Amino acid sequence: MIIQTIDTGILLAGFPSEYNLVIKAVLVLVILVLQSPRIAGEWRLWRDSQRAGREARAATGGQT
Amino acid sequence: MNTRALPLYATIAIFLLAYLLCWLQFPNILSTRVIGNLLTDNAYLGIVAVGMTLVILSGGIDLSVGSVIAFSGVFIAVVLRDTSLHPLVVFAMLLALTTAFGAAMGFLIDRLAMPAFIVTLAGMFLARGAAYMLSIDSVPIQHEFYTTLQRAYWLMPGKGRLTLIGVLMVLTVLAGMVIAHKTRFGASVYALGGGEATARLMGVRQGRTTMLVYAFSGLMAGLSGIVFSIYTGSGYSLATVGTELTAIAAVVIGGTLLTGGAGYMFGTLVGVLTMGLIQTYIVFDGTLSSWWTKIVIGILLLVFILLQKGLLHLSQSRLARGAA
Repeated sequence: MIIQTIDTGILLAGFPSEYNLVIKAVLVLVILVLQSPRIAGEWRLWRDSQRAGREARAATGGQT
Repeated sequence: MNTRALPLYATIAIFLLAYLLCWLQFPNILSTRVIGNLLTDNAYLGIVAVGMTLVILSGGIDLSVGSVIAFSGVFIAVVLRDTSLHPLVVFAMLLALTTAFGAAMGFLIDRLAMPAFIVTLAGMFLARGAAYMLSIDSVPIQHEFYTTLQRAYWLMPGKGRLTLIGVLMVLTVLAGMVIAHKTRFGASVYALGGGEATARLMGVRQGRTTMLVYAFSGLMAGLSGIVFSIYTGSGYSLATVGTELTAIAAVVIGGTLLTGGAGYMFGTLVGVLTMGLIQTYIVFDGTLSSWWTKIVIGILLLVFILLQKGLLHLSQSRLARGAA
């Protein structure tokens, strides 16, 4: 269903059918990046450090 | 006897036996004309299989090579048609492009820690899509230099023609043998295929090796695209569909373990020639459908996978006995 939706969406968006595979490849790559365990780990690390920073600022009343 | 080399010995034995059976029925199959044609017709497959062997030895897979060959043909044909560049310059541009493409896939496989199967599948879509974007029609290549390349051959005794692309295939296999078996990079590839943890303990730079392996496969696919364009004299975006699977079949029939870490480059050459021999037999016979090639290759693949499984079981039980 998703593949068919992408196919139809590409055609309805006005792209020539020759672009179909390239757009699909880019979509697959984006999904790969989103699903990557390494990227997910780094995102979690960044989010935790942001949260820890916010909590530290709140605990010190905004004084650093 | 080295059990790891057993699939290679089996491949060589099957090839020699098949050739003997063909010779008994059609004595002309041993002529230099047939041997020359065998090398010429399978040159592009042999070259791409060299890259695939290294990828499989490292424990990976590259599904993009068939599309890269098609892209290469269309790229060469379109650039030669629309510009006044010399083919050698176009070849250099193409090889740089396909090598970078392979390296980018290797980089993504390592950095994203994603299976090679899915990353190279995206690469397959991308290369085929790029070929479609360049042209959906078959583009003929009309250049004097191409005509020279197509007509270049060495006349063997018996009037067989050893063409330039046939020689290029043999040289590529020899280069592949040196890289896989005589260099530090080759040792790193085998170590990586044996297991990532083991490779890390051995000091193998995993990311660098993965990237280089896929870059090499990209380079071979580009070279194969050049050879295919010389062979057909045109570029077509729908060409070589499924070649990646044929190359994988040749590598497995050549005795390389699909899980990586064991195999020989020479085996791949014998695997490619075995597949070519089946096609030649069908042509000589004249009554068989060309689909028999696929059926026989399927049976051979099954036999080799069972053989590999058996050998793996044998080595595991040996290890267990040694531990006990």
